[in-house]
Amino acid sequence: MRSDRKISKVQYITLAVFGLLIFLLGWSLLTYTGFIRSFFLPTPTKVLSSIVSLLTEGSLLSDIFASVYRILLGFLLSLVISLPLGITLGVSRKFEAFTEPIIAFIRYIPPSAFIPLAIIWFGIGETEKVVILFLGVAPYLTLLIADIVINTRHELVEAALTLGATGKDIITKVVFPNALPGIWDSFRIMIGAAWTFVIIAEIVGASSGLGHLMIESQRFLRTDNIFAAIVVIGFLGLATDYFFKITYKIFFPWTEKSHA
Amino acid sequence: MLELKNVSKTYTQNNQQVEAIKNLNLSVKERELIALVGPSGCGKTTLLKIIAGLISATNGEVILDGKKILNPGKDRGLVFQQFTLFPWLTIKENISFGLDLQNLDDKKKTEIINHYLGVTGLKDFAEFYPKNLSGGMQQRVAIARTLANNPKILLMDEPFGSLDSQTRSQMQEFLTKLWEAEKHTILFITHDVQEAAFLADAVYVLSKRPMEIKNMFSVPFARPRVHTLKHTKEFFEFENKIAQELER
Amino acid sequence: MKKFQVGILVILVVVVGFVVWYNASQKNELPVTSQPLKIGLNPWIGHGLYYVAKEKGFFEKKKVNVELTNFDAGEIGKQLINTNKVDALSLTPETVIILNDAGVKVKAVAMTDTSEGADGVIVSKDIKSISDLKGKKVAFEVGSPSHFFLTYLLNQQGLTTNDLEVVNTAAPDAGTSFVAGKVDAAVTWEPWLSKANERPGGYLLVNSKETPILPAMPIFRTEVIESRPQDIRAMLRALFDAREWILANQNEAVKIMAKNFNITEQDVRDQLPTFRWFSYQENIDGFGSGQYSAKNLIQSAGDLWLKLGLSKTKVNANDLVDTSLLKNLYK
Repeated sequence: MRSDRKISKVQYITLAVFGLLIFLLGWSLLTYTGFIRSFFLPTPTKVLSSIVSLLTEGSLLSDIFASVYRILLGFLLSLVISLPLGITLGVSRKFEAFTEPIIAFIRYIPPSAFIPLAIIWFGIGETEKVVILFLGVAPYLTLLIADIVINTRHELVEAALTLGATGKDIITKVVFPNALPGIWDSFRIMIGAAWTFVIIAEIVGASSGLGHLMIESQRFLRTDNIFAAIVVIGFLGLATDYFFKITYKIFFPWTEKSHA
Repeated sequence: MLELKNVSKTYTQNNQQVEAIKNLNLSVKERELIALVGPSGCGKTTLLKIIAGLISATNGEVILDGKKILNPGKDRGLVFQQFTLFPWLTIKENISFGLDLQNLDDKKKTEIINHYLGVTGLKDFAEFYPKNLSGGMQQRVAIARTLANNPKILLMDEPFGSLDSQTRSQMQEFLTKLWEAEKHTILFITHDVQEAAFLADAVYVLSKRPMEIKNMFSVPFARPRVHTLKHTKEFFEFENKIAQELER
Repeated sequence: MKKFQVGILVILVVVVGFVVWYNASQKNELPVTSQPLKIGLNPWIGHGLYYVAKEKGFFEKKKVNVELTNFDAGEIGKQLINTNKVDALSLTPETVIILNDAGVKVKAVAMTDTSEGADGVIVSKDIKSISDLKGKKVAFEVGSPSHFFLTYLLNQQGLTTNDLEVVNTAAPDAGTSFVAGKVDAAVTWEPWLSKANERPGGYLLVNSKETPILPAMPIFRTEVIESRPQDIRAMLRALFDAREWILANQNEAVKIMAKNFNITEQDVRDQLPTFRWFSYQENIDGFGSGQYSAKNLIQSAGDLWLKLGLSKTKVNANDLVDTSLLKNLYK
């Protein structure tokens, strides 16, 4: 545990802003001076104006909605499978022996390897994207959840047993609530991965979405648009991350991580 | 009310058979506070877990009120050495855990919870989470949680072992006072001879592995007992007697 | 625990609400309830015609439900039509040959536009003619319109791509490669053609204005032509109407195209002179016959592909075009 773990909110924000400013300074120095040609690295203002013009005159908003839609739908589907599967895996060794090899096998195949097959089966519409996302997220999420469940301190289970709890109660009243913060954190990690998979799928074949926007911009040599899309993706990812961190503290004030 | 008949436990470790407990016979009467002392690693925790029903004996029987023990249940409450409060529940909810599993009406539940909050002196901490409590406070909650469930016997596995000596003293006083007020049946394991002599009605001395009962000492001191008892000559001599038996 | 339950419920409601809303909003785009005609479009500026037709309601007016699917790489487009995800691709003559050779029965039914300067060959300063490309490193995308363009030009000089050192690269990357000095020549599109001189001495050797052999054609699966000729005719009528409208409303058309391609209006204006949309009359005159007719160019592509060993069968372009749809368009 780092000794400087506790700093005031003001300090945190100041340092964060400072870090951002340094980054902007470096970027500006490289571009406004012409050291790097604007075709390869546009200036910050150009990227900003591209974002604005893409919003007002282009399809940025609908592309954002398209990518977000795919991520949400794919993630929801993965959740529906991974949560019960992961918990069962963590609780039952027999079930683990039965399913683990298949899950591990799929997990090691990068989802982008499934893209050509998925396009043949489903085309380049929403279904294909959601399938790719599912194949990338579900196996990993299942194993993350299983791991958290397996690591339930056995003393907690034993305490519950000596208080009169039986099998079902142990899972719903001890294992699950104990695992919840870890599971929530797994969501945060896997949504980041989901962003990666969706963008790759959109780059390879799509009619809409941020990845499609980038490849289309490449076709028309609009590097500034490519950067605009990258910045937007970065911000959306950051927002998602903060969402999970903040809700973690609200939902689980009893954990060590939350300063209640 | 609790009887151990020829209980033995063997398990396999590194492809070898290890006999942890050998032909143990023990009897605990209602409302007795019994202490078991033994060297570390002799199998005390294993014995307690067998009584609790968490693991099964290889041979022999554990009988509670005439019925054989096969599985864990609320009739045998267990307080561990490590803090095992449920971190996601408040103090109040922790104490209420066992009660919530039964179909008690809310009035009865609140009565019991408030009683134990008072007894442990933690009324002001009812809505706190375990992470905000000191070690001593957490163990008090653990004890309260188990007792609120009204077990027939309370099993305690070196419950004060991870506390500093001052807190440990306070906890011992807390336990004796509680026992003297409510007279639960308690089976208490410790490696601390002084603690055993101070708390119990009778002290059983256990041998090294394979564990057997070496000897039994009836504790002669009157109740209520205060910590000043520990500094008397008679107590010191009694303590030594047990310690010598332990080392023999 | 209560905070969690309430919070999760709120989150779920918002997320599911968004998913349901978005799903529904996508379906709203189909006003006509008949089965859609699915067209696959790559990011070619001439396809602005389709976007304008859709947005200004020309398809609707002709009572045809047209669904536009964008794809970027040529391979994806071919897969889409091969797996029936689209009914047609809007592409150039060599695509007809490639699809036909792969067993996909297709026919071109019209020409919507042709590249007149949008495609070209940029070369290093020591290359003075197409014949000078012999033995040189040339970057282009195999199986693409650029490939056909180059092959056609080489054939006129008695050469084939086998006489070059081919570096298979997608068109945008081909341009970058050339400017970086990694290849001696590249076959690509704007804006790379104007950027040729970013490499000292580099210049545009020849472009499609002099040799307009890259018309964009709706290439339909034959079973769709047989089962729904009236829908295809309606679509063509809508496209020709849209073209008229664009000529009369250039500013608004430019706006629509800029939005759909995510480029600036100035970018669109700069590219307008590099291609030409065909009218119905120009199709009647020049689709089935003429040096730069669809039929002729498809025949050339077929012969060249066979010669290069890129296809297995000799083709007769009469089997690969359908002039009947155009002929009866306004009856």
